[in-house]
Amino acid sequence: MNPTATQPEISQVLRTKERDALVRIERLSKLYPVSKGLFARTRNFIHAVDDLSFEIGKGEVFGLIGESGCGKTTTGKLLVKLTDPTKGHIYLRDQERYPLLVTQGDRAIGAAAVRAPKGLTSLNHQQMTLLDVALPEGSDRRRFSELLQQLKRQGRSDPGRRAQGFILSAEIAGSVYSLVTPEYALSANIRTDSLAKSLEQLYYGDIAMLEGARLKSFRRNVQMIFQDPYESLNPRMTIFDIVNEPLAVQGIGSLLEREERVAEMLEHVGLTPASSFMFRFPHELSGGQRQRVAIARAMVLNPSFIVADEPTSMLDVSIRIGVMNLMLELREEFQISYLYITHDLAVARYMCDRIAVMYLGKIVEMGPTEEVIQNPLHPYTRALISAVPIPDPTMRRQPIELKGSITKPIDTQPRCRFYERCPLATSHCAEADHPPLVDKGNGHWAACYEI
Amino acid sequence: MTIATAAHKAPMLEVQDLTMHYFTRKGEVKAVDDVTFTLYKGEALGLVGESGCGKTSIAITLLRLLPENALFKKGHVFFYRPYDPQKAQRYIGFPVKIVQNGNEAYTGRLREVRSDAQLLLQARTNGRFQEIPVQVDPKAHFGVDLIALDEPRLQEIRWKGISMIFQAAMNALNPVYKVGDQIAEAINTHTPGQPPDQVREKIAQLFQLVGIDPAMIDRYPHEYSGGMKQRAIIAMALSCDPDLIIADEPTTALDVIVQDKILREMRVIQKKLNMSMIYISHDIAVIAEVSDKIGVMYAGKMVEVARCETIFQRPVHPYTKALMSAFPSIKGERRKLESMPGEPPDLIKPPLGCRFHPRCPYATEQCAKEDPAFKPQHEEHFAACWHPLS
Amino acid sequence: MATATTAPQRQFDPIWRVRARLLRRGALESWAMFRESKIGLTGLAVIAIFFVAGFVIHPVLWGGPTLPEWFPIAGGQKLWAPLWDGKIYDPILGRPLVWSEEHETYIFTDFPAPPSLRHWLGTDPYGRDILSQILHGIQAAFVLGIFAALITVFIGTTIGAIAAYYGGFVDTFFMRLADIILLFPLIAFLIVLSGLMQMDFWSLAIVLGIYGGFGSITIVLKSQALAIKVKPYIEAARVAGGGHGHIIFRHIIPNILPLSFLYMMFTVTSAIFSEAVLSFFGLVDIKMSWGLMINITRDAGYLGATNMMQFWWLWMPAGLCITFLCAAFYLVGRGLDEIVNPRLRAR
Ligand SMILES: Nc1ncnc2c1ncn2[C@@H]1O[C@H](COP(=O)(O)OP(=O)(O)OP(=O)(O)O)[C@@H](O)[C@H]1O
Ligand SMILES: Nc1ncnc2c1ncn2[C@@H]1O[C@H](COP(=O)(O)OP(=O)(O)O)[C@@H](O)[C@H]1O
Ligand code: SF4
Ligand code: SF4
Ligand SMILES: [Mg+2]
Ligand SMILES: [Mg+2]
Repeated sequence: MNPTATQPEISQVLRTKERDALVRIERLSKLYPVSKGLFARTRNFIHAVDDLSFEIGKGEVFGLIGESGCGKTTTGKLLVKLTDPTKGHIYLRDQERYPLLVTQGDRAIGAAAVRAPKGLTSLNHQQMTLLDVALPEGSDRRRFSELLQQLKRQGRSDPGRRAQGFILSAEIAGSVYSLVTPEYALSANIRTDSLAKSLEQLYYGDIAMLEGARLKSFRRNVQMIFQDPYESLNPRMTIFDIVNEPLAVQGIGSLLEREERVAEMLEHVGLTPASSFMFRFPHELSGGQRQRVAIARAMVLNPSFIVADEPTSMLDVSIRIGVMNLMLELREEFQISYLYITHDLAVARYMCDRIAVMYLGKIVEMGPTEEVIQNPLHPYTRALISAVPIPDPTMRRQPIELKGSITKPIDTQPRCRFYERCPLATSHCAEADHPPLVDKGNGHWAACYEI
Repeated sequence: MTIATAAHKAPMLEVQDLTMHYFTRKGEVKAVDDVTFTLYKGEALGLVGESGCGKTSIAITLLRLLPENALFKKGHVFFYRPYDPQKAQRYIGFPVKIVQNGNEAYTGRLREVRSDAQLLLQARTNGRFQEIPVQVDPKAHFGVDLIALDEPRLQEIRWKGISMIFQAAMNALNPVYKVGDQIAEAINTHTPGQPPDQVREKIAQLFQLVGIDPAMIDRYPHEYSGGMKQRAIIAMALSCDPDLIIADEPTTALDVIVQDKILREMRVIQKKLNMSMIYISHDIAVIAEVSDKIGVMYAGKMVEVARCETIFQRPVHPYTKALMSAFPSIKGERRKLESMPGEPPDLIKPPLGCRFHPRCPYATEQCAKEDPAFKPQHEEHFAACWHPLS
Repeated sequence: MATATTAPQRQFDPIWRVRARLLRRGALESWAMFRESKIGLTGLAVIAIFFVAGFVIHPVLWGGPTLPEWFPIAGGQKLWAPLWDGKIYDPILGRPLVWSEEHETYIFTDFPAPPSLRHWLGTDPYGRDILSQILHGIQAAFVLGIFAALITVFIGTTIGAIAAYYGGFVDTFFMRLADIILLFPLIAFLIVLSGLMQMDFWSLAIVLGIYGGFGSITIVLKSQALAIKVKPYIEAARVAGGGHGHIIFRHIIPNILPLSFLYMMFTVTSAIFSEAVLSFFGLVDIKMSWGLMINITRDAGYLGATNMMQFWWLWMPAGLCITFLCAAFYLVGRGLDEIVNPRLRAR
């Protein structure tokens, strides 16, 4: 293999990694068992979420739109691991996760992701946790794992070279193996044998694999804001206890430090002075204040990703904008990504950078918000947009009539989910499978045969 | 306030100084305070305001469907129908109001219906009660004060005169009875003595009107979707041919597509039957779609009433203006919305003076001390503000 | 963690003090609500009267507890001098000797003696003072009832929360157990049990507590816990990283505790009643209790149909006390119900 040919690849990975997706969802499905009748023997399934794939970038607000029962909340719960998917994967880019190359001489023979909560520079062989491995095609996985274990046991580091990305090395069976960062490999001209692609994958962890301590640290990274501020705060806890709970559960800081942090967070979300709110109970706050508490609680661990399930739909108009603006400000300040779930297109337009429109568990259209709203492609999106009332009597709209009403996606037919109600349906739609989501340009995707 | 400003229109409902509080452990909730508005025949009024500002409370006060802890304070609600000497007989002894020839109005307790064209009212003039004879025009509008009526007379007006679609009514359909039977029961209790065939025929017509397949009459509520249930509730409200329907959040629980269909259907029916409507909603976009006239409420007060376009284009009350700009829209340019500072007050201890003053950008010292009167600003445009915007 | 470079300064009162204040405020609020319930207050008043009678008046009249023999000062003696003649006013040892002119010596009076100035409520078939027995019985009833209820509530709350939270096999197991316990009539069960082992005061309390704990209260508290389990704040706690124990003990149990407390009142009622019945059958090894008083009356043959009313003082005071104290705890439970169930709460 020509070393110079592989080098650009790895540099590309390193260049894109900063602006790459934070969350990557691949073919995600969730089925809930239901029984149709009281005595029905057959098991039927609701396809609450059906084969969903999308990505959410760093600092992006990604909106999930749809009528009730189309699977928005289910998607949100899957992303925070409140339920586990039936099929598919959710990959999250984890800050404590580092992909490293394993080299033998000047050649990389494989890659491995390690967990380093305190950063790579303090990683030594004792505290090294190995996560996934990636290998070039045809390599022996078992041998590679054994090698890694040995490397983990015997590896010694050289403080001088560590800063450049040379983590550990050991002599095993006559040859020197080492663990280096991709940056180091690039600068030291190590042959990577087209490991770049696998390396890219290693930045992400499949959240299905998380357990124990790693699940706990995942919880630190990913938080959720719930729809109903009246039900999502324990009525028997004070505001301090509620916001403190994530810190306490995660065992962060002393009581005094946590008090500080909670107060700081409360002031951040506009509950000032914090001391007058800390020891009140949720029922002593208004809806908007409660939702601010819920936001403070979600933010207190400095997460990188928040799922917000209709966070403003239960709030009054005059305070709704305040909460929405707060969320946008926090995004700017902390570079948080949101999955913003809503049924209100106008709210989605205000909040989101990109939106995906869902219908019966499927994404039917996805793209930059303005693009989707001004130029909807899918017949369902068009109908949905035409039905949104406009707070201006001088603007007339031309509503698009749809047949029937939204049903439940129980044991769906293998054809377009929207077929029964679609004004554009053709015989092709009746025969073919559900249309795939295809790129129509401008990052605008739609799933329909007729556009 | 008189209703005489719109001479060409027939009055339907005239609400004057309506005030109703709720008694609670913590104090009186001042849910409806000095609310005044007039609704004309064939007109749709939309009441908007945030949750808890007293919209539902107004509706239940006018119909006197008050809970036990409600304390009615004061006010009049005149419900008008075309003058009919026979029917007028029934209201002898009760306060009435006669409106005729554009702006002539007589208020008093009805003593006697002397002839088809003359009534005797007892009214207070110059500090004394006097009996005054009133010549009645055949085209006069005869209003009865719902607040003063006794229960049997009121019961005649509920459903047949004014019917109400309650908030979340669609969840109140009894699951063990067929939907058709539930509507038939409503018809039979309010207009007894109709043969069952005729009632069934009527229900089938109503179903057609609201857009449900008449075959669904014999189905149970669980076989209906949310939108169909709401339509069935609308059919029920229409079943006694009311002159006025009050719809409290009729589409709040529904999805946009269904909401849109139902709103359009209600609008068509209202125009077709020349009915009056009061829509109640927290969503100004919904109200904008269906109403001719909008009443904006804040903290138990009516702060502005005007025609729909006026409210959107030339609101004079700062709250209305703030409310307008608090709604994101899918049309127009995408701009940053400004949030209103603070939050709606606790109605147990509302702020003194103008109830909006702690949040109002135009507030002055006067606003914090004196309650602004609800008064005309332009033609058919009322607002309660010391410093109306122009 | 904090952005400040200096060590964090305390901005608030120490947490424990704030919590104490909140607890006090919560208690005051609950009391304000409870105070509005007439039945609850009636019950509380009756309980208070019994309490004062049993735990204040009785010791004063009878003398405090007897100190053990080895006690350096006044060993083997009462803690303080009884106000009433210990020979008369003693629930167990009271031997009412009276001076007889005829025999010129002390003799036992006729017993059971009807109420007199000397024995306000008469004497039992052995000549012991009924009033002292009644007052002594109060202590037994309170201690037994409350101890059993605490055990019941502890078990019921924990098991209810755990069964609701885990569901599945754990749930099925405890629910079937509860079914079996409910199928078993308590009294019959206790009679059988007392045949198998000698039951004294404390073991009876423990048995009653356990029986109640695994029985109906588990079912009630479980259904309450199920309603709590599906609340979004439970999911929020999971998203924060809370484990099973955290969710059960920090979220579910605090939210069912008010209901547990309510059921505790009802359990006190049933424990007092059960003890009375068992003592009536003479199955408990206990020095003195209301049930035992009736048992003694029956054993001595005064509870027959013919002479029952004639010797009313033998059984009526004890019977009324059982009724009143049971009713009082029940009424307090009903009063608490209005606090716990907002549906019943008057606005
Ligand atoms: N735990 C569950 N068991 C069975 N079915 C479920 C469950 N949760 C959700 N579903 C079903 O899955 C579908 C999607 O539900 P989901 O709650 O995600 O919808 P949604 O878009 O969030 O709706 P809404 O706007 O009403 O909250 C619905 O048909 C719902 O009935
Ligand atoms: N039955 C009641 N008892 C006490 N307060 C009530 C009752 N019903 C409504 N309220 C209070 O009255 C105010 C107005 O309520 P409502 O008319 O239902 O508002 P809206 O319909 O605008 O949401 C609110 O503060 C509400 O809490
Ligand atoms: S694929 Fe066919 S049925 Fe589906 S949305 Fe497109 S036109 Fe309609
Ligand atoms: S009266 Fe004063 S405070 Fe009230 S709305 Fe008008 S300007 Fe604002
Ligand atoms: Mg949802
Ligand atoms: Mg309402």
